[in-house]
Order: sequence, then structure tokens, then C-alpha cells
Amino acid sequence: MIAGYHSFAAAAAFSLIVGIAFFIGTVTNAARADGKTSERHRYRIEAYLDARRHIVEATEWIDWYNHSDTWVNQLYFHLYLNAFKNDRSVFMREQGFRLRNQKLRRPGRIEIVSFQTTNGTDLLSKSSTDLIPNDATQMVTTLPRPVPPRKTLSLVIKFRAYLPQLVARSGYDREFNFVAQWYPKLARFCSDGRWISFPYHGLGEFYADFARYQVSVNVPSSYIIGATGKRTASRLEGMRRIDTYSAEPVHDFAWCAYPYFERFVFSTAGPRVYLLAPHGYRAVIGHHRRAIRAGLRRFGRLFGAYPYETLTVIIPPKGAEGARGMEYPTLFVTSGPWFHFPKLRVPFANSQTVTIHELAHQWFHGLIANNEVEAPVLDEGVAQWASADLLRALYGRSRSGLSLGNLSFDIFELIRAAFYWKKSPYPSSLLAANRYSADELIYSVYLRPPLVFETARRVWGKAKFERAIGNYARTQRFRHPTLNDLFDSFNRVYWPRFARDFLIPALTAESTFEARITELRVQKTEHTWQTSLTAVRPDRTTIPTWIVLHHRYGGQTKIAWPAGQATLKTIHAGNREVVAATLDPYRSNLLDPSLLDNNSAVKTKTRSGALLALLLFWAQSFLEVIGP
Amino acid sequence: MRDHSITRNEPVPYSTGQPLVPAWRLLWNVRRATLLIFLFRSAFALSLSLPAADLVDISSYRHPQASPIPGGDALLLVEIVREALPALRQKALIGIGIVLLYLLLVPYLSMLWLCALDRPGPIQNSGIEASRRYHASFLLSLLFLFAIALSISASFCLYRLLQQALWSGCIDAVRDLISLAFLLPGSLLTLFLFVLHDLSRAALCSEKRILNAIRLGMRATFRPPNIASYLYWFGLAALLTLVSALVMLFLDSGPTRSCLTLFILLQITALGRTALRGRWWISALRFIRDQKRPNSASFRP
Ligand SMILES: [Zn+2]
Repeated sequence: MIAGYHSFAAAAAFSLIVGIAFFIGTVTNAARADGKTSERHRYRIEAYLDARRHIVEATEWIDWYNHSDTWVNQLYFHLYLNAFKNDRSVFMREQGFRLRNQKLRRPGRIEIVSFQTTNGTDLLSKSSTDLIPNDATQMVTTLPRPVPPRKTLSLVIKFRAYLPQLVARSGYDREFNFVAQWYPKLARFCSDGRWISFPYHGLGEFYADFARYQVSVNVPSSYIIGATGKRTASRLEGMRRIDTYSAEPVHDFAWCAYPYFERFVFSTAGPRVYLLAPHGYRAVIGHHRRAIRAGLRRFGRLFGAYPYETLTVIIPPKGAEGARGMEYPTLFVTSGPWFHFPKLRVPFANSQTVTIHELAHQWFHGLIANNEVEAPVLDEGVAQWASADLLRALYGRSRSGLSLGNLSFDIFELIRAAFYWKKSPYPSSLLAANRYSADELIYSVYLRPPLVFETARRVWGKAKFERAIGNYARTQRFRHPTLNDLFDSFNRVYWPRFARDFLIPALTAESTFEARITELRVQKTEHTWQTSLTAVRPDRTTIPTWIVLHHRYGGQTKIAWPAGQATLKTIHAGNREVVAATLDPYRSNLLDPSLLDNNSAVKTKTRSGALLALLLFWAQSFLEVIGP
Repeated sequence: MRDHSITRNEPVPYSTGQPLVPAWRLLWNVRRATLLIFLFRSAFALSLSLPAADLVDISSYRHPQASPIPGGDALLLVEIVREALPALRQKALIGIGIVLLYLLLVPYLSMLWLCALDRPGPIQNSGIEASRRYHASFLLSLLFLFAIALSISASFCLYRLLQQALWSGCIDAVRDLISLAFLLPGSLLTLFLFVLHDLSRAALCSEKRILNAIRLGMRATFRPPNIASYLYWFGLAALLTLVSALVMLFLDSGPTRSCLTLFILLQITALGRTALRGRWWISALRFIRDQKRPNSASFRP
């Protein structure tokens, strides 16, 4: 198709700025046999939404470019909507926890009506979905003639997407349609000629090449659409409207259609933001807008500017909660109530947390497109740190997590408290997504990595950390990094073995970074007070920390405890009496599993009278309610 | 046990037509019973709060002079609870046991208090009367516990049903507010049951039979001024709590912060609320009396 060439030129120019290596790759691949100048795959889809039956009928044209040096005789496709075909698919088995209370009232699937090359060779008969028993989310097609290196293969697929009742990510609820993972999509093809394909997993889904998309959607004219990319054309045809969207370079395309959306548009320093919310959400729009603006600014500064012209944010209506909290290129689905209290930031009335997390995904998975199944820590783990960091930038460290009058929490301390609530150790954070149970995924991928990253930031300083993660984000933009790329970036900024010394032991939970004060004794000699202090770090790997001695009547003495030293024994003599000692007083080591042994007071335990008085009163009040 | 004695020598003040003692004077006259109730409850409360205080006390883990964790000091609680979980489970069981024992004693205590307020005299007499009525009072409370639980769960179900059933194009705020509004009838019913429970217990002072007591209580509850009176005394108790919370906030930041001040303030509040509760019981007893003498029914707050 012709439309969209301008945006392609802009993106090609952009790649020049982003990375020389990438640029060289693209230029050498630019010449093509058919005379067009594209080294990126191209998808063009014309889709018709049957809003009553929740079926999308579509024709898809794919120009697939063999950017490897090998001849390719097989194509791998994802037919991820087939995950909802029955409850035996990999997705449904892995997602069982989510669906326990909701039966799939209407299954969903993709039906391929025809599949040909543009010159008419049938490929449907040469395709099979039997890669995994009971799971039809992948399709392999054997080509009659292999595709030579640097050549393009053009395909036409006619298909029908039957949307499932919305339980997770894709589907419909009454008039709301969320159309994601809905078209036959090529799996990731590596430059060494390998395909990387996996079924639709319950806890990980994206890994695909960047491509150029042009999608036109035909919907009843009363429906409001949110979609990946920028709307380039819109026309009415009787009672229907046809909107065309272009996006490049992105690795997926999702859209949603609902007649009862209210559309809020606002500009930022970067993209134009389209916020679609059900009626009645006016009160929280400003709240979301503030989070999005601040996020675009901060993430742009840390990880490189948001490169697209649009960002679409969707708040799903009640009943369609299955779609919420999900990220797609240039589009994400947030959640949150229709009300909010400016002075009160508690989980149930908080509209910003999900928005910020999903916005962080625009970088970590949208632009820096790692394999989500192989290394979920690279998208979820890093996005969690980035979103917590943004909350800190917005509200200050001590109020970043929660603020309720005088009660306020640091978001990282909250994450830490949640992570260490159970004492049992969770598996390494570096496993593949499908190797975790849902519970383990939350602890190992969502909670531990932000603590590890933040500990690195607090112990060795903000500047170093931001340089390391920023370099990683900028050099890996529009690429498919692995864990090693992240570690290399840290090694370059910190020291050559930093990942081995700190990141890997912390992320794999090889080390606990436990530290504790074991003894604090104070003796009075003739003229001086003698304080002897012993502290231990039982683990092999250690990080530098501080110990503070508190004097009676105020004042402190700071003692440095460098890394590598397992036991600290120190005798401090002075003319002031020491009454307590605190290990890691600035709370840099968020990985220490126990805080209670980080403090030691000379004074022995006394019962707090105020606490007892309060507890007694509460107990009296309770007994009053149930009593005479 | 037979209840002959009650019917034989029941000194019913309202039937003799003796003048009504002013309510606060009456409360003062029976201060011993009121104080007994207060002390009894406080003893139970203390046995609940002592083990809890041992578990939760942060000061034993941190020196007051130690620098606070920025935005995370209170999270030490999580750690303490985690460390103390095995001990906590055991203490929670003991706590539940204490509450159950208290609940078993409630029917007796409430009858003792009511009888003392209804027929002031030596506290031993009230004790004896309360023990005679324990069985009826226990059954009555059990019945109301069941009814109140039913009413609360019914209104919750209605809320959930409406949340599901309302049309998807409906504005979320409107749907939520409509569903919330439908919690109102359930709440009113629950309030009605609370008042009815109190008035039926008051009626049990002069009625042997549970059903008669409930009928009397029902008649009294259907008079709006009586419900208003309940809300009035309940509201005063809530106001008292609020005021003491405000004073506490001031104490917390002010220079006069001390455990003893806090303790005294809270205990005065608790005692004050017990007195207000006693004052409501006096009104409740008079409402029942009015029901028995329909010709002189009048509202005296
Ligand atoms: Zn996420």
C-alpha cells in the first residue's frame, strides 16, 4: 500500500539516530528485488467488525522479508485467539487460576478461510497447527519454494476472528470489544535463520519482529475506536465507519471498539494522548493525565524519548475487567475507579499505579522488545522498577507508596514488605515465564527485581544506575535484547564483573544479603565510654553499608562497613554514652530479609504504655459493641 | 427452674404509680451496677490487649532515639507479625476463647444491668433476677444475632446483584451509586433490628416469655421517637469518641504527651460511653413501660 510511506521515512531517519549498527543493517538490506525499499515486514489488514456477533472478518496482506542469510522454507505463525478455543489450550491451563470463577461462556478462535501467496499458490493445505497437542495457537507452513536471503514473500490470508467472552486480554463484554491477538501473526525470525515461536502462554505473550502495520477497521458508526498507531483516514459508509491506522515500527497491533466511550485528547511534549473512558470517569481523567505526562517526561529522560506520534489509553467499562492492565504498542489498557481523593492515595482509590506501570511497558517491551516468555524480568521486572521510580518522582520517597494522613510509605519499602511477607524463598527471577506458578511469578518477577535494581541505585548512587539502565534502553531500542545485554550495560558502567558480583546473585536469590547486629555492649571506664559492636553478614556476596551509633542526648557516630568483610568487630571509645546502633540507617539494602536485627538498643525491653492504653481502649470499644 | 418468685413478689414500679425519678439521678443511684459492667468489660479488654501489646510493641525492637526508616517505620510491624506468626496464632485462639466467654456472659450482664436500672435496690437482688432470666435473654440474643446476620448478608447480596444486572451502557458512577442506595433499606432494617434487640431485652425485665418481650419491643420500636432516642444516645457516644480522638491527636503532637494522660483520657471516654449506654437503657425501660400503659404514652428523652 502507498499510504504510510512518510511515516516509514521518518522511522528510517530515526533509526539513524538510535544506533549505527542497526542502521548499517537496514541500509545493506534496503535493496530489494521487487523494487520497493523496505527491510521490515509489512502487515496490511482490512477488518470488519460484526458487532452483534462479535466476529471480525478480515483480509490480511503480509510482506515478509527474509533478513537472514539463509534460505527459508518454513513460516511460523501465531494464532493466539485459538487459546480460547477450549480449556485444554496451554493458555487456559496456565491461566486456570484466573478463570476459576469464570467459565468461558463463549469460546473464541481464529478460522483461516484462505491462505495464499499473492500469485495464487495455496498454502492452507501446507499448514498445520498440531505443534502441541490440544493447542492450536501456533501454525507452521511449509513453503513450496524456499525464500532466498534478502527477498520478500507476499501472502494473503482471509480469516475470521471469533472473539471470546472477555476473560483475559481479548474478547467482548456486551458492547465492548477488545480485539487483541486477533490476526495470524508471524513469530520472531532471527537473523541467523531461526524461528522463535511458542504457544500463547498464560503468563507471557509477546515476541515478534518490528513491522509496519496498516490496519483499517470497519465498525458501526456509533462505535468509538482505540487502536495502535495513528489514524490516517476515516470515512463513513452508510451506517458504518472505516478508520485506517498506521503504526511503524511496532511488533503488534491491537484495537478496541465500544459505543459508550468518552474521548479525552491532550497533547504532551511528545505524543498526542487519546484517553478513552466509559461515561462518568471525568473526575479521574486529570489524575491519569498527570501520571501520563509525568511518565512520558521521566521515562523519556531516562530511557530515550517516546518515538511515536500517538498514545492511546483505555479504561475498560465494568464487566470488561479482563482486558485491563495490559500493554500493546502505543496503546495500553489501565484500570481504576471513577472516583479519587486527592489527599488520599490508597490502593482501592488509586487510578495512577496501573497507568504508570503500563506506560513503563511502552519502553520495556514496546520499544525494547525482549522475549517475554524467556526473560520476563526484562519487561515486567524493569517496568516495575521504572513505575515505582516514577511514583517517587511524583510524590517523594516517603509518600511514594501510600499516603493516608500522617501514615505514608515508601513504595519500595511496601514492595519489600510484600516480598518478604512469606519467609519461604521464591525461585530465581531469571527463569522463563512458563516455569513459574502465578504466585511465584508475582514474587520473583514483579517484586524481587525492583528491589534488586533499587538496592543497586541506593548503594552505588543514582547517577550510575540511571546511566546503566539508560544506556541499555537506548542501545536496545527496536531490538530484542537478552539478559546478557542488560548485564553488559551494568558491567560497563559499574565494574566489569558487577553482574556476577551483585545482580545475578541477587536476582537468582543465591545470596540473601542478610546483615545483622549481633552484639552491642557499652561499658564505662574511668573517663570514657567503651562501645563494642559486632555485626555479621553470613552470605558470600556482600554490599557496602553503614552502621550508626546513637549517643544519649542526640548525636551520632557513623561507621563504614565495606563490601567483602563478613564480620565487623569494632570498639569505639568516646566521652559520650552510646544507647543504640542501627545497621543500614538509610535503608539502602532492600534485600535484607530481616530488619528487626538491624537495630540494637542498650536499654532492655520495656512495654510501651501508650500502645497498651490504645489497645485496651480498642478492645473496650469492641466489647462494648458486642456486649451489654 | 421455675419463675414463681418473679410473678409472686414482683415490685413493679410503674404499676404502683410512684413518681418517676429523673433519668440521670436514677443512673447515679445505680452507679454500682454500671461501674460493675464497666469494670467487667475492662477486665476482659485487658486480657485481650496485654498479649497483643507484647506482640506489636515496636519500641522493644527499636530504640526511640534510633533514626526512623523514611516512609517505612510502620512496616516493621509487618516484620514483627511475620516473626511472631506462630505465637500470634496461639494468642489469637486464646483471644477468640475470651471473646466467646464474654459473649456467653453478655446475656447475664445485660439483664443484671437492666434489672438494676428497672428496680433499683441491692445489687445482689439484680444478680439473682438476672440469673433467672439468663436463659431467655440468651435465646433472645441468639435469635437477633441470626436475624442481623441475615439482614446484613441480604443487603450485600442485593448490592452484588445490582452491580451485575445493571445495563453496560449505564454510567459506572450511576450504577455504583444506585447499588449503594439499595444498601439503605438493608441498613435501616439492621438498625431496626438493633433497636428491637435492645427494647426486647428491656421488656424481658418485666416479661417472662420471649415472644411477649419481642412483641412489646416491636410495639416500642415502631414508634419513631424511640428510634430517634436510640440514635441520639448512640450519636452522643460517637461524638464523645470523636472528641477524645481529637484531644489525642493534640496530645500526640503537643508537649504534654504522656502515657498516663492518654490512659486517663481513653478510660474517661470509655466510662462516659458506658454511662450514655446506661442512660439509653433507662429510656428503653421507660418506652416498654409506656407500651404497657398505652394511655400515658409520651416521649421523654
Ligand atoms: Zn506489566
